[in-house]
Amino acid sequence: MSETAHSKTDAKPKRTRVARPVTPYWRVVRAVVWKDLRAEVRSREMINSMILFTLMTVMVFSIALELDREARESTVTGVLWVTIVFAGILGLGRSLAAEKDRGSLDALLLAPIDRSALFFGKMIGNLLFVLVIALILMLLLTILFNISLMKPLLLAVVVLGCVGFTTVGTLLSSMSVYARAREAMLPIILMPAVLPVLIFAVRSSAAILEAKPRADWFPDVQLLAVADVLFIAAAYALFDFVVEE
Amino acid sequence: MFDFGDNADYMAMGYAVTGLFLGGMVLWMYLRYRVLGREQDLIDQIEAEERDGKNK
Amino acid sequence: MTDYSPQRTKILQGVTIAAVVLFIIAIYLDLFWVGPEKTQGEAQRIFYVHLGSFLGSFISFGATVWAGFAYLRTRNVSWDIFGLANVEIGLGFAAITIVTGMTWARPIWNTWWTWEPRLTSVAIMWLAYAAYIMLRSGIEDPERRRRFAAVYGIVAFASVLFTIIIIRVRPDTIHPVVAGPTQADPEGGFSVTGRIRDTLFFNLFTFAVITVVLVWHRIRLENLSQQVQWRKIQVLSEL
Repeated sequence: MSETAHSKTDAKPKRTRVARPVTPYWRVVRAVVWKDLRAEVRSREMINSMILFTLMTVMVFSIALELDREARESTVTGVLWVTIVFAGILGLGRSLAAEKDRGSLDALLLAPIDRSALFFGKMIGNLLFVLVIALILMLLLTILFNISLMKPLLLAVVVLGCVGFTTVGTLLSSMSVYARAREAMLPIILMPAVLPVLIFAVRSSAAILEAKPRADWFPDVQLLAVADVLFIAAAYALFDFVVEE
Repeated sequence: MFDFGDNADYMAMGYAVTGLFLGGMVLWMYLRYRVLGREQDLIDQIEAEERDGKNK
Repeated sequence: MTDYSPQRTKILQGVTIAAVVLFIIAIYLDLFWVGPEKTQGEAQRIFYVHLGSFLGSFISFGATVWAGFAYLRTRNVSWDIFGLANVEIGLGFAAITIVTGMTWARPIWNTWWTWEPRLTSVAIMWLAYAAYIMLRSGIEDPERRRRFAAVYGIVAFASVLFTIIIIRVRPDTIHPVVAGPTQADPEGGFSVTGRIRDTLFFNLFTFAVITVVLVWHRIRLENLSQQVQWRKIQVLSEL
């Protein structure tokens, strides 16, 4: 591309490769997850707002659908995933924004560790929070909607869906923290990117809840797993570029 | 020549929107070119004025 | 001053004229040369521009991925401009695809829009690239904006792949698949042979050329715009 008149090249970050990372990869991941969990147990600022949001969403939905058992049955998967996604966005936005505002993100980036280890640490931390929310939500819906969601298969699909969602979410939220209106930016860039995962997750969980034969939902679960793997690979390759300073 | 049969109105609509959108893209670019050209002229003018001011 | 080599400018003028001529011929072929399809009547003719403009958006969004990787590797700002130009042109073509699809669906499916997998995924695709534009406008530091745009341009391509794959793997779609295998029982399919095939190929070629031309002009526009911006700052700083 020599089409530019005043061809300009941005400075590349200097790659001073540490010959061999001092800390083993998985120890780094574990340390980041552990740090996030401990900080959360002490402050509870993220999980509390996520739980309250979930409670209120379920309340609104059950008020709207209270009298109609049929409506409840046909919308329960929608309610489940909509709530997971929006509660998840609430948490994802916080997770990196807090890190940046306190200045601890710079400290993490300065550490002589693999950046992708940092990503997986953050992502697993977010995944754990979203899964806790999903479990509470499934319990709530089972009670309030009077429809049993506690099926191992459905749980597996929820885990797969949440893995894809938090992978893309962690990658994109580490971009949106730098945006001018970060709270508004995250859902705008996250929703369309993550919808391939969500569509397969919603469809297979609906089919499993309606106790349809295996052939009806298994292809969707397979595609969901494929999408997860692709997104994890993409995030692994691209996270370096997002956080380079 | 114009012996179009079934659903010709929808066909016409489809081609009309295609033309509208393509034309819109071209027009949008053209208008931006013109605005930029005008700004460039203005900058040229200001620069020339400044040079004259310094020479005096 | 913008100094492109006069040779390049001449090539650009040449392909621009070629694109206009090709477009006129393509429209002639679509509307007069090829006969109407037996069951769908004249509405079937929309299909040529429908598929052509989808090809246009596919080329643009594919080029955006290429531009993203190239920018991240070389950090040359031209690649970022190339990516931005492709996204904008691709959005236009995707809009044409959606709207022509709607005008075709009204007589054939008897509805403008239905939440069918293909239509859903193409709408998502459009939103993903609209989000790319939003992301760019939301980040102030230009170097970071270019970097993030490159990353998001790569991630957003998932929605394009999703659009292409979905009707080939989902048995409950009603969208016809013209090329390749399908498990579906589509509403409004037809066989691509004879004149229909020739017209289709001509349209695909034409739209590919139009895409290249529009992107090229858009790149030049962006170069000019950045240059004017830069000169403006200089003039203001001197005052």
